[in-house]
Amino acid sequence: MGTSRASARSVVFAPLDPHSRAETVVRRLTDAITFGLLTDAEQLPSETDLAAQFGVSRVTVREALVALRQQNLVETRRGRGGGSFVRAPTAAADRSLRSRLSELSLPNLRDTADHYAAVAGAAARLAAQRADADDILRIEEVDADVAGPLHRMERAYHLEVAAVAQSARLAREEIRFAGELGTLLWSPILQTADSTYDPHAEHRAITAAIAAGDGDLARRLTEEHIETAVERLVTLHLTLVEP
Amino acid sequence: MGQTITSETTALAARVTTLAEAAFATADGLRRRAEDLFTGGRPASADLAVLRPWVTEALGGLINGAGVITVPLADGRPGLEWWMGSPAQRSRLTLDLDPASDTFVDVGRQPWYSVPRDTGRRHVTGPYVDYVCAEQYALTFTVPVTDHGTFAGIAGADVFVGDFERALRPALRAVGTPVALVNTHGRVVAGSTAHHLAGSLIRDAHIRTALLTALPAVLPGGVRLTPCGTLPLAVLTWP
Ligand SMILES: [Zn+2]
Repeated sequence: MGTSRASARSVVFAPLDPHSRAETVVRRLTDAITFGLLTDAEQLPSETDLAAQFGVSRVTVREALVALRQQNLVETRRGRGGGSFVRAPTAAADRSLRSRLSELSLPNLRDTADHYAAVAGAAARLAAQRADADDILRIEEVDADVAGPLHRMERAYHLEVAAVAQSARLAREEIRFAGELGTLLWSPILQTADSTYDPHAEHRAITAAIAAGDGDLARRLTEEHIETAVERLVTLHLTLVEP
Repeated sequence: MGQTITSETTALAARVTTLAEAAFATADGLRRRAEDLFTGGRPASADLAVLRPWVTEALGGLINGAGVITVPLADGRPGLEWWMGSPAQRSRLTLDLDPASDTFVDVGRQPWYSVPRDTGRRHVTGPYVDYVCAEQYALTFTVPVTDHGTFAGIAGADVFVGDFERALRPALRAVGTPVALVNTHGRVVAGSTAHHLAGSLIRDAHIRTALLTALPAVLPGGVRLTPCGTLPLAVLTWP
């Protein structure tokens, strides 16, 4: 457990891609705090160090810290021994990812994820049957948006696929799952054994299968895409939840 | 027999045109009310509330959504007065217009907004999954709203594809041979066979090319194309 927590922590501070902004720093630190990877009263690295580790400017880090202070997740003390300190959310923060994650039972999580894979997979298969060239462009456009957090892009991508499938019901299910599971499933601090994990690359393969009219492949790739994400979530769940 | 098919097909195209023009007339009535707001200078977003009686009155029959959405107004916020449902059970549309939010709706990316903006002309969007408003499979009829000749927003009306199909059913059945109403992209709105259900796509290259020209045609295999007035919709019949 010590090792996996330590490696999960190293992911927290991994460099950000150049499109990311203060918002991504905020989300990564928020998730780390709410998941308990950064503990209460723990001192954060200095602004300079954070900027270097995230690969962003100090201005961006400062902007992120302001937002975290407003959310009461970080406290900044001046003077000797000063710096930014983690304020772990208390019982009041029942909206937090951590409490949501520990409330989930693994059987329920598995069941929800199976349902979601069925919905997203079926949407991809139907999209392959029903997409025209303009539809493919719309799907590609959504996936190309890397400015916001991952869960937002994931919601938009799979919702667009359901729309291209011409299914209002599947689109409604996508919206429901995004609200229920999205921020957990696509939290940037979840890890995989495979360091090359890239949801965008998986989307590009799904989109290519849809464009080629290969519904079976589009469905299989989508199911695997969801399964990989669920595996990451289950691994973290097992790491965090005490026996 | 060919004569009979043609006249029934013409009747179907005329029925489609009548229903679509009625939806456009609703949108156009709201457009005029909206443009009146601009005559005395640029209004604020809250000023659009005066349109509410006309918007809610537009609901009913085939119309399941109607209203006006504008560019940012005097207060820097877009105007939004859009209602959905029936006269008995209706709700006001709220859109998440915060770009930083997870459920942000980029109105400018929606064809029902961007096409009238970019062409200055009315537009039929769909059939499409309208996940922005009613989360339904719909046709949306929109017209540009202008402020002294400059694009200022859209006025529109939504019709659910299921309701549209039901209204067309007698005319569809009367054709007798396989028939489908499609948009210019080859997307089926309503059809008379299991092969041409709403949402499926006609992939035949001859048909797709002919749909873009929007002229009456007889195509290989005896497929007949009958345009629906000046709408981006056409009736296809198979022998
Ligand atoms: Zn995805």
